[in-house]
Amino acid sequence: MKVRQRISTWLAILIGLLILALALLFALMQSAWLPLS
Amino acid sequence: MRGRLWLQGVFWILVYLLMTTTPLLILLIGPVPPGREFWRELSVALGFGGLAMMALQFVLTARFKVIKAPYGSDVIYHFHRQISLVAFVLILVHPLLLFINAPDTLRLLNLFAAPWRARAGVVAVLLLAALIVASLWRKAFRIEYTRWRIWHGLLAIAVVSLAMAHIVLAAHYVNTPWKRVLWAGYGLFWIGLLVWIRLIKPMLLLRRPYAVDQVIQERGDAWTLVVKPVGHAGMSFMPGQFAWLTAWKSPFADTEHPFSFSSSASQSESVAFTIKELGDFTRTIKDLQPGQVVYLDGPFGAFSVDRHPHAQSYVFVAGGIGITPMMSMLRTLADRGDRRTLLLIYANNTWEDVAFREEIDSLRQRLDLRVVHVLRDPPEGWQGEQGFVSKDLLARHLPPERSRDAFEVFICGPKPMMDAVETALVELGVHLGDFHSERFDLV
Repeated sequence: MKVRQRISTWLAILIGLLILALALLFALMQSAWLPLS
Repeated sequence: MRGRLWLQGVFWILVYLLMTTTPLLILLIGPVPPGREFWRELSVALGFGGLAMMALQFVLTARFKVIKAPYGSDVIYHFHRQISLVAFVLILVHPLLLFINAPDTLRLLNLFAAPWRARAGVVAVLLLAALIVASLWRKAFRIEYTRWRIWHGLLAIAVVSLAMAHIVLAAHYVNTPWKRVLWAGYGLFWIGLLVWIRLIKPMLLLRRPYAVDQVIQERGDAWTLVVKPVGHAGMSFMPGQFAWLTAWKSPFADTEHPFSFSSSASQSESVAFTIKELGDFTRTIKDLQPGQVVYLDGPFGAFSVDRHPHAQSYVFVAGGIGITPMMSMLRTLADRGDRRTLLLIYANNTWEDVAFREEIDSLRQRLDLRVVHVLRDPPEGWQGEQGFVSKDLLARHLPPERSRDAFEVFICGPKPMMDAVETALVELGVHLGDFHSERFDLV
């Protein structure tokens, strides 16, 4: 269904953004810009 | 049923999110190697995230019925396509960030001089790019479907294997035993999936063969293939579902094609598919001989009246060979003695193209069925609807009641028709959850 396909497209984009956010967090911590670890 | 499927749908999305993010989350905790500059770490993290997403593609396409049930196969394949593009962007950014941050790393592109870890990474990205280009523009490049499918699988295996090798050879973030265990587990899980798809599943199919019973010519360049189970009970399906058919070759050859059942789900001694001659494989259906062995993997799909048993009536909108799943549903409802109100809007080019038109006419004796034929090129003196299935046409024929469960609409046909009908239904106030489409032309 076109509507469900559209929802799945947005879900894919959101998952991509989530991975990007996690990657940013990872890089911030590892580069000691965000000294959490 | 609707509530349970909704919960299942949410559950599998959460599992998917967990499996995609776990590798990165685990890299974030525990002992980590000394940090490097921000852009380099970001690049590495994107590589890990992209690979986790890529490896999960095998789960999406492994045809686990329990995962597909809440969404329907077309939505799963659409998601597979979209998430692949997202993962490809993340993976592509991984080397690009490295090159921008440290231009001397561009020397790693020289496959003759680069270390093995770089060679594996570069070839993985190149093969992934080839895989994606071939999938997005298969028709433009005139790549035959079966050949594309085989290469798609082989390239996907090569990409993930090379990416895993890239991680192990780089060895920066798999420096502790438990992280090695995690990534080995991920690798084993992935290999297990491959063994399931390429070995176990074909072996199971091989043990449940079907024999061709009849091949019947229909109107509109279509053929009905009737097959019977050999030495087993066959399969029970919901009307409107589909199965993957392997003919001429062994299931190990991975040359199967999806087709909707056209027979009644109430008759288990044989199953039938009605297949229009549209491509290389479909043109060979008429050459199948009685007794010839074929293999079926299924049933799959969420496109069925049985998923919506509480509807007060059903509306079917079919275009051309899109009548196939509708025939299965109509025949099944007739066999069950269902007395609900049914409307079939059936679009074709000409009156001679109307597959099953005599049987549909006779089904009206057994069902409370109204049929609206729509012809693009009607014969002289045609009194019925003509042109395309438009919003006005739907407004003229749909039941006036618009409340939930008043009626469920099933749509199957050429893509432009399905898009137009879906848009028109929304404009006519039909609830989004009350219409359902079956799309096969995804690649």
